[in-house]
Amino acid sequence: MIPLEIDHLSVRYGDRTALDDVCLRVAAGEIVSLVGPSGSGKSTLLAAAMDLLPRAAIEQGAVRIEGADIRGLSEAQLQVLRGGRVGIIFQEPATALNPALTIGGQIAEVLKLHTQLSRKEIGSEVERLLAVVGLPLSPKRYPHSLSGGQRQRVAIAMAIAARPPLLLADEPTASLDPVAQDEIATLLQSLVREERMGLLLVTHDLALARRIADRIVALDHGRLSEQARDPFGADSREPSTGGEELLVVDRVARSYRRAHGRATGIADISFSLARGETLAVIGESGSGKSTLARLALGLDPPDTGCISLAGQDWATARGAQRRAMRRQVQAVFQDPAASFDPRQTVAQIVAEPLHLLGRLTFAERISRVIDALAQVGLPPDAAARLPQAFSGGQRQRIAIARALILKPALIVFDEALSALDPALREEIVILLLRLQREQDLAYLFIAHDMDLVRRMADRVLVLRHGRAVALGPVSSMFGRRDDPYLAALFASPE
Amino acid sequence: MKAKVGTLLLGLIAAIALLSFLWTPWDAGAIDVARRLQFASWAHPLGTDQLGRDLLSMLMAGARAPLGVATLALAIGLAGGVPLGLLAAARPGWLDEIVTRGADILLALPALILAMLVVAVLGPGASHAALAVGAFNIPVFARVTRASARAVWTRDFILAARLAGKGAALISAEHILPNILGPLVTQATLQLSLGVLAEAALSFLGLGVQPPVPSWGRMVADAQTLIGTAPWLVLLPGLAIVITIFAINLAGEALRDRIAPETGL
Repeated sequence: MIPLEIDHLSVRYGDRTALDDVCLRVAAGEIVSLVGPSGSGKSTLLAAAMDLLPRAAIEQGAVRIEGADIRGLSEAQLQVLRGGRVGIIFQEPATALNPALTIGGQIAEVLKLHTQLSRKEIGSEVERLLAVVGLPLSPKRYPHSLSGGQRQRVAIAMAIAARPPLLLADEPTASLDPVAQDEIATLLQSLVREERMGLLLVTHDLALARRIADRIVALDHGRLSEQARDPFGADSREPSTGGEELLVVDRVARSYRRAHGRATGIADISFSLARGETLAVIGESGSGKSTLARLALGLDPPDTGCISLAGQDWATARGAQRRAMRRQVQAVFQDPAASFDPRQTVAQIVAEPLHLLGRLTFAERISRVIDALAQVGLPPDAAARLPQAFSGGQRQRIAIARALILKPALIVFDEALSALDPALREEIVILLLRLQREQDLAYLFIAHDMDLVRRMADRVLVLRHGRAVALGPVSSMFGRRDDPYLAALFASPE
Repeated sequence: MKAKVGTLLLGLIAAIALLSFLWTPWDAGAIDVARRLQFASWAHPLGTDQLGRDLLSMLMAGARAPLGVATLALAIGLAGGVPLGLLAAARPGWLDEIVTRGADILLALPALILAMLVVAVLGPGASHAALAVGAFNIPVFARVTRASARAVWTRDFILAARLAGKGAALISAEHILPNILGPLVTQATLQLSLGVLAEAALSFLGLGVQPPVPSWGRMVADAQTLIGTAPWLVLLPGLAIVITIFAINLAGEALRDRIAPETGL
């Protein structure tokens, strides 16, 4: 029996075609990876496989799970299907798990709903499942005490608990650090092979798709094409010639005390960044990348060491001097949705840094806002709208416009492109490279995507547990085998 | 629909309270012992009480005290509690500690008993009742404001505002306050209806507005010995209190949906 068969499926929302005559099969023990830009219909296809679409939207075609057309099923039968015959793994394990229940309790719930096991059998089955997903922990632990990778393992245990013939995974590794991404990919691959399940893997990450998938299919504007092309060209960035030192970080340490007494932070970090140069900072989550960003931005003072910008130390600058330093540096954050006040219009958001220039007339403010929007390719009429009206890529442009409005010398990007799909990311990369060339901007670029580092950065600083592991030109880092951490981070996708 | 009913009902009650300043069918304080304890008639649509006063007029005028005291107490609570909560959220450390612990201590004490104590010391009267109830609204708003504001402070857009060189006060006013309106409106609704209830309780005990000004709570107290002979004298003011609280809660829901639809508590 074939776990999933999609037969000439067309889905239409109003007059927009979401899926156009899509045929797709996932065989038992096969991993099919579905790639495509956002808006291409990936989510619609997943929803169709679970029969979560409004019936009116489906124009033609059928979805069959183990040969049975799911459109003929009643709501009660569908509930057996979802979670029982079809296991689902979501992008964000933090939200997929119920924080109030133990991990064992959550896995047991799936077993209670979808199997006929007795209470005792459920207990031992939970233990077995935790072992299968490589999580030798007590089932009495709560999700908050687990790392992102461990939570995703729990989510996988829940998805496979009822031994479904079909697994659907929606960006299962996107929110994890590179090391955990790697482990989860390996786990999924071995589970599918051993349990003879079919896996439909929706992802932006072509490297992941190439590594574990048997087939890659691409969706574009609702149409399916076998074998995705590689959106990343080989063209890397020209190395910068190196100019005047702009940001100097000298033997800096900073620790934060967490509630349960464990301190995190960075220690003994030194580097410098010249005008017009890009330094990438990479490392697994919790390695201190964001701490470093906050220190460079002057948001937090270091415990020891000093950080200076254009020759001026953050620690000693006061009043007007400090405001002058503030004008030099801006930031773009990871989640454009969280980096805007939801109650402000685009104009108010983009104009915010103008506060540092003192009083401006309304006309001056508006002309600067429109100028900044134009630099990132947004029309003037965007100014009056709310950020919620824009797509993810456009929102990140708004965030960049806000960073540009004061014409700073340095912009810090804290995972700023991680949430975008490859096509949009490519557009933003091109935009950022152009802006850097035109305005001689320095970028401090925090990332965990190696393709991005290769394209954007001149040099790279590798952090681990808050310490610098390596600092040097990007090209010197790839293919290193002397250090297992570096080797894992810079493993080439092929 | 539900929201519309609540808004209309609360508007009606407030309008009646205001109207009673200008006009009531009879003088609410006019005693006519010859016509005491009459049942409803054309002259007295809801009958008369044990002193021959017109019950409809008393119910109309009796709305002023609970609404007035609850509104004033709410204003005191907001004016005192919101700035304290914003301050505590903006300055984690000893200041936050003082505000939170202070609020905890005040909230641990039984509010109504202490309000009675305050009124007993200051002397009975509407303004003292409002002061006593309002004083206990302050820690409630301080706590809600602090908790909601702390959550907003962790968002990235606050970092963006700090990068724009804005200080804690400006950030609190521009970014924090507009984003915590939802929980504040919810709490304000709750405190307003609790204020109506508190005024009724204080009046019932003789600590609210003083005679001859009527108040629903005291009307219940005055008529409680007559519950066997003239039950409407107790039931109607009691019903007025219940309907008012109900209307406030419904109207509050409508207001919250309008001001902060995304919080959806």
